[in-house]
Amino acid sequence: MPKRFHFPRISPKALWAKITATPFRAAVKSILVRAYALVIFALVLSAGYLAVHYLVRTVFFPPVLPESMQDWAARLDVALLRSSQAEGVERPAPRAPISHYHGVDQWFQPDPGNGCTLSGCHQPIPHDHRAKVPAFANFHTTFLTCQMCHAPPTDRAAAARWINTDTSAVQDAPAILQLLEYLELNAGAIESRPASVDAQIKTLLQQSITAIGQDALLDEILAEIQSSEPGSPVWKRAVNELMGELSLHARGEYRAKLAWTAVADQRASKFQEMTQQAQQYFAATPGSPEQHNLYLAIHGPLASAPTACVSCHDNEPAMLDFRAAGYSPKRSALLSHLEIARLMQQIRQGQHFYIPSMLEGGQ
Amino acid sequence: MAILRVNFALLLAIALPVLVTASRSLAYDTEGCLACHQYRGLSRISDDGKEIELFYVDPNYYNTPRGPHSRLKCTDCHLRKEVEVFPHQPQTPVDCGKTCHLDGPNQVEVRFSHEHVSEMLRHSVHGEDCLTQSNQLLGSPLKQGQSPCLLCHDEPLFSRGGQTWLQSEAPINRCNTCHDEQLTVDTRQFYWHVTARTRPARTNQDLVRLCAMCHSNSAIRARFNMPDAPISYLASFHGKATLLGSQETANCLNCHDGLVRNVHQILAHADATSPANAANLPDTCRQPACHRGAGTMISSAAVHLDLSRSRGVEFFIACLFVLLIVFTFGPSLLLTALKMLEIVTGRKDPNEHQHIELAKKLLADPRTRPQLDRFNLHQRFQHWVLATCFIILVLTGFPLKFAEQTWAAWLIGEFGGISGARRIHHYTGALLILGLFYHAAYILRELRRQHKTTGAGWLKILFGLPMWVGPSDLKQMNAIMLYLLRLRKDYPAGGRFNAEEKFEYIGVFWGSIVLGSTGILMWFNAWTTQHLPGRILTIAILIHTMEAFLALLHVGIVHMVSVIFSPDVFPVSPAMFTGQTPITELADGHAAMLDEINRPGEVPHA
Repeated sequence: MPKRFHFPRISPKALWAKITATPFRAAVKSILVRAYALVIFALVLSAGYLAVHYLVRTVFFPPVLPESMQDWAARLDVALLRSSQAEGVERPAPRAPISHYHGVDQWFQPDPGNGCTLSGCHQPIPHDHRAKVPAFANFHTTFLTCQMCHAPPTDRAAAARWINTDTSAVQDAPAILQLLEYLELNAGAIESRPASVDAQIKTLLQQSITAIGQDALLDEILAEIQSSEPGSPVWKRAVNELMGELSLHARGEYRAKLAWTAVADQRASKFQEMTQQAQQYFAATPGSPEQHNLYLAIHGPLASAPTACVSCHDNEPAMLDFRAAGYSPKRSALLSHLEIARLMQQIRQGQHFYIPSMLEGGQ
Repeated sequence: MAILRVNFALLLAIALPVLVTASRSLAYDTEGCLACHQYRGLSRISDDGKEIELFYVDPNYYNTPRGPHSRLKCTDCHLRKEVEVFPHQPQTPVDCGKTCHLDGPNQVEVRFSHEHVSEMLRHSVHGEDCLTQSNQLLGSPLKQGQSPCLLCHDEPLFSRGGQTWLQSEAPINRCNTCHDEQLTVDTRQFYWHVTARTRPARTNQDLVRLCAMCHSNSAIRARFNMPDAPISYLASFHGKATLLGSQETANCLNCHDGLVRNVHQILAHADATSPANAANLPDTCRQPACHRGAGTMISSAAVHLDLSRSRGVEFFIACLFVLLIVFTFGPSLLLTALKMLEIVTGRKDPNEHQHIELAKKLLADPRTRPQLDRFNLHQRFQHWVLATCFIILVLTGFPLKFAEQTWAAWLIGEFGGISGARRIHHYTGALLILGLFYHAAYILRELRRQHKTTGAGWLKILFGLPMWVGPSDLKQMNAIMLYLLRLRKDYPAGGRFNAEEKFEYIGVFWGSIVLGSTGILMWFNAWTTQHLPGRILTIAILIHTMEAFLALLHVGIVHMVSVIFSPDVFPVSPAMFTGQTPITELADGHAAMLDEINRPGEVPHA
């Protein structure tokens, strides 16, 4: 009869004691010390090599122009739109490109969650000469997702939500819009109970500046509000300045975009899906049925023609509820009935218009 | 195509957003252009799909107002017939030389043109031909008909000189005390127009970057037979200071247009009236705001430094230092690396166990234990003064050597900018020199004490000092190298201070003298250039920076590994804190001292 196998009977405590017995510890220590010495050995040789390399390069080879001193952009190349390191995209441009006169500062806020532009099919500034009013449409892309115009909901009362362009997550209305609304609705409290509104103004203003990127004047107003007592003359002057200035600084650069609710909720997953489909589209044989089907799949939800400007800016009820989207009452009223939107609509229909000069020079 | 002419009501509607929300801020935008053009996103891609066309115009430029052109209407520069129609017609490039009609003081119309600036340029080194050819060689960024002014200028912004907007309002309010009603004038615009001219419009960095656009362009340099002046400027002290953010240091314009001209009148340095002409350079360097009081010889100091191409004395000095670094730091680095390799392979000195036992025995004996303290309190104090000075000098000095690195500008900023860092560097250097003198006095005192005690000759005592490097130390270094290369079985026994420590000590001594003397020459550059050629300054800075680099390599790599990072002493050797050296260190590096202490009747060195 074969002998039965028995596992050695040893308690966990005894096992641990055996593992950590002196010879084992010494062996582990020895390995660790040797590994550490090997790292120091490598570091010492690397540092020595780098030092000598630097020395030889600086003495025997001509110096090169440091990157920070490289020449100005000769022009705004389209490739810059896909480079977060470009001046004017994530950091202010110290001067305009050579052929451009007006200061450009930070001229583009990237949207890393936009599947339409990041798939490689459409440029981040997507509307070109084929559109009737491309520049106008492009400035709307700063704060609207593509689907807002190109995939309007059938339900006229559909809600829209803000999504953060950095994270693609749904967020509240941009801080600057909230602040505009807050200042407008709390004008009385600002006058009579400044202490009750001070904290909220500071918080929203700080968030607004962060989203805009760089705004020296708002920065200074915030500093004034932060360093003064609520209700004091300095505080009042700063808040009055803010109330006068703020609307001029709300120019769509919110690091957030409006999206129809259905789109907003699925943005991250749709981005992945769209990227895969785009890759398959480019991999498919040009002109093949497979490629055509992929094209249809990607563009299936889109309307045949983009929504008219007046749908939001001169319609009752407007397609977009500006108040619900977080715009202040005054701004909502303004945006809901924009005459210029009707003119743009006419341009899209092939008409020109001239702006008269009746108001010029105080005439 | 149907053309729609809008009526007055329509115009009101278009301008409404501007008028309602921006009545004050857009005061000069009477044409309502900013209603659309204030949006940064107002842009498109050109028809050829290559270029981004930006139509954004910063409303703050007109709002605050931020520049000399902020009072102009858009149609003062752009053709009305092209911009009054929507969509706008293709734009004719703006002619910067056209005559404008400005509202002067007291509402009197003033005619103004930049033609006189064009005239200045025509007589300067940057004439029309130069700019036209440069544009072509740059790849024609300026399109047909665009003004060459755009090669250097974009929208000119008034510099606030570091003032915040709210701070700058105070003087304007004072102006308004009188100018508000009776003497109506746009005080804000006038205030900025005047005060901004008292400060440079661009930072030093932006200015050099602008010049480098053409002067570092290989095609343009070849066409006009020019050296790469921006690169050689950036290798000099002034250039490095510029890279580190200094606005006080000399930039291209300070030397090339001097104080009496303007940037549009720059002349070739061969021109006898150019401030950069060799005959005029001494006065240019000695401008009151620059090197006031310096000698005329200062102009021979290198403002443009290109070691590799110069092949002058500076290059040969640099070569000598490269050799010095390779032949002093090289062996030290090799020793340090091989010692680590010894630990990795587990090789031990056959006598190590015996030395450890001896060290333990001596440490246990209260009579011999004090003799194992290798550094007394006084010596440890001197070491830490030296270490503190060294660290501060490295932190304030090395950013200049690596000025193009981002960290360097940050570090200098933490010391209050280049002037703050330089001040700290100077005074710390002075402290280091004082420390050197103090140490010399300390050695003299020791010599005198031993002379009195033993009656031996001065030189004999000097050569017998424990830190003096002698032929035996060279032999010991050779033996260590042989051991580490496995050509010798046992590790050579070192005394109280082993050969490696002695060479480090001599290095510090030599380095302090070299760094101190060259540092003084640079610190008191006005005096130096009154008595010596300015080129001495270039040589001094070269020697200073090379010697400092050598010192940093030795201390930062060799010394740090031996006293901190080596597994034998990690996390740190306590020798310079308590004076007591760890047993393993005693056994490894100072076995001869152990033997000496253990020898009956011997009196070890104090």
